[in-house]
Amino acid sequence: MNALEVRDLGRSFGGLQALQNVTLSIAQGERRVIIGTNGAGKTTLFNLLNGQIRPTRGEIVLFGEPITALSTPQRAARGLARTFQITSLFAELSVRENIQIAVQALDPCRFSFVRTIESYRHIEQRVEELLAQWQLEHCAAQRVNKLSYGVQRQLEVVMALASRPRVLLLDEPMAGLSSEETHLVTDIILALDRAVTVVMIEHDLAAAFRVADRVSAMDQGQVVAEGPPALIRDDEALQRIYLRGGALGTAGPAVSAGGRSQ
Amino acid sequence: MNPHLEATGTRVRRPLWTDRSRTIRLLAAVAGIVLVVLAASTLGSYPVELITQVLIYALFAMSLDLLVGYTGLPSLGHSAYFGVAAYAAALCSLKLGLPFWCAAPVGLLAAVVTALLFNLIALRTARGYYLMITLALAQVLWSIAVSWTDLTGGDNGLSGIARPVIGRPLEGAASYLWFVALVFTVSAMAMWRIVRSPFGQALKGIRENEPRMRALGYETWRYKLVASLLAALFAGIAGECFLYLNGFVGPSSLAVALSAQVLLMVLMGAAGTLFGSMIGAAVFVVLQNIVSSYTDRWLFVMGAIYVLFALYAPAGALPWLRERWARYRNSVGGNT
Ligand SMILES: Nc1ncnc2c1ncn2[C@@H]1O[C@H](COP(=O)(O)OP(=O)(O)O)[C@@H](O)[C@H]1O
Ligand SMILES: [Mg+2]
Repeated sequence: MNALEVRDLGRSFGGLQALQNVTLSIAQGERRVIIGTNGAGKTTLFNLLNGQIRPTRGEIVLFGEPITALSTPQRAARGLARTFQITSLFAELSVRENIQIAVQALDPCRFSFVRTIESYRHIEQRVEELLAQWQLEHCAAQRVNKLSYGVQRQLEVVMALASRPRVLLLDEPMAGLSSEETHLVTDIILALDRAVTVVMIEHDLAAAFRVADRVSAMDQGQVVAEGPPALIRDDEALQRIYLRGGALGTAGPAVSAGGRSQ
Repeated sequence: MNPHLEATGTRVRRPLWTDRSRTIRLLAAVAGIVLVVLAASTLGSYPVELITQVLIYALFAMSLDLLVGYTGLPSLGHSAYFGVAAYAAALCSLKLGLPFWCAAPVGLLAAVVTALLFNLIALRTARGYYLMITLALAQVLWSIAVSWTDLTGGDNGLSGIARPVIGRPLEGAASYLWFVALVFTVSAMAMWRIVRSPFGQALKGIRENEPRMRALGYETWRYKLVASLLAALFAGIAGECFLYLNGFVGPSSLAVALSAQVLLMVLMGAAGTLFGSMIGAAVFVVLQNIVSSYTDRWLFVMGAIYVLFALYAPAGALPWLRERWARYRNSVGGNT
């Protein structure tokens, strides 16, 4: 059984066909990277996958279960987690509180209001574990909107990992990170348990090819090529698309700077 | 080694709320209430009534803060729960002859059911409309209270409700103050628990970023609904304390003016901190008592005072006081 199946998915915004005929099969434990120029429809695909927007056609299947009709929280409860291209955190809360909220999100205690958070030891332990793993202990008490951009981007990934998802969708996790930070994030993604399936949108092709088992390339709302990194790197059609967007030749940090708009 | 040190500074801050300091604060707060009540009861009936009112409004304001400050739901209909609880309890004892121990819980239940009905409607609307919908729904109740004279006594309200008997009748102002102080302390501790719980943490998350909460797996409307039921419960407790204080309930307990006042208390104190709402209520009630002894237009003056707050202490009284205190301490430290 595949972790994620997408069949003939399509979505239009008014007259704009943002996504069409997208079919993907992502195996359990696979690391799939999705590349494509700005506006190719990558973020729209993620929005459809986690239910933030509804498809105009097509079907999504998670571990054999059709989830197209489910709400966003219901999909999260089935182990689908995502990060956002535009950092989406709890700005006025501390780093620790942000992680706490993410950790308890799928825990039975989340609805309890008679005991304090501190009394749930397993939540606290997981929070400490994540703080340590991501080297965030020193800023645990800081408010998130006081953090540097790079740390905010990392927290974005921590939040998605916190509740131990089965499928992790990462929307340009390295965009705007320093090379050191990119390494930290890449290392953690590489070190993830193979039980977790990872789908990552990435502009930084060097990082993308380091992580990927397979790569899907998107252009103008469609998947135009799919295969192992080595094949994709040499694909001529892709070279043309990227040259039009002006990127592939200079794979590296210079590319990631282009990945801001949604 | 750590890649973030440069960006975020190396100062490691201890968490503000350690377990020890919280226990100490709690004990200090309880001791403070006991002292104030003791001091007030030696001073005669006016201060006793004033303190009683402060505690009731503080409870009311804290209940609204659960919605406004913690969940980010600006309600302008909070008097509905306060008034419905008072009316329901009053009707139970007047029309049905039920004792306090039955009438009071029925009143609270009525407030919670009202909140359930209101919010099943109000939470369906976009967030910006929550304020308008709660206002409109509360107005419906107010107009029922005014026009259904047979049941509610219309503008005259319902009077002659006896105070509860707990061991002995709470007839004296001082003994009623002790009762209210006890109710207040228990309710405040319960609310503090709520905001420190996983549920309370989820409310803050909803206030900050609801779409992200949904992506994390929270069915956010359930949290908002339960928050509004809890807020209505505590507002109802305040409403009943007010009922037994005066032995009377009238349409003003359901009025927009009351909802607006309690919202001002929350905003003046500091939305999002229960203690701030308490301070806001105290400041408001005391100022109102002073101002209303000079002029009938006290609501106008209170509005003007609120504008001053908005200009000079936009985050509320509590952060303002904290900042003054820090400056004062620094200046004292600098001199020695
Ligand atoms: N909510 C929306 N409303 C209208 N147009 C949208 C919306 N979201 C995305 N689009 C459009 O869909 C196209 C694909 O966008 P997006 O998925 O964000 O691209 P990518 O993430 O690959 O850069 C773009 O042309 C974008 O303007
Ligand atoms: Mg995008």
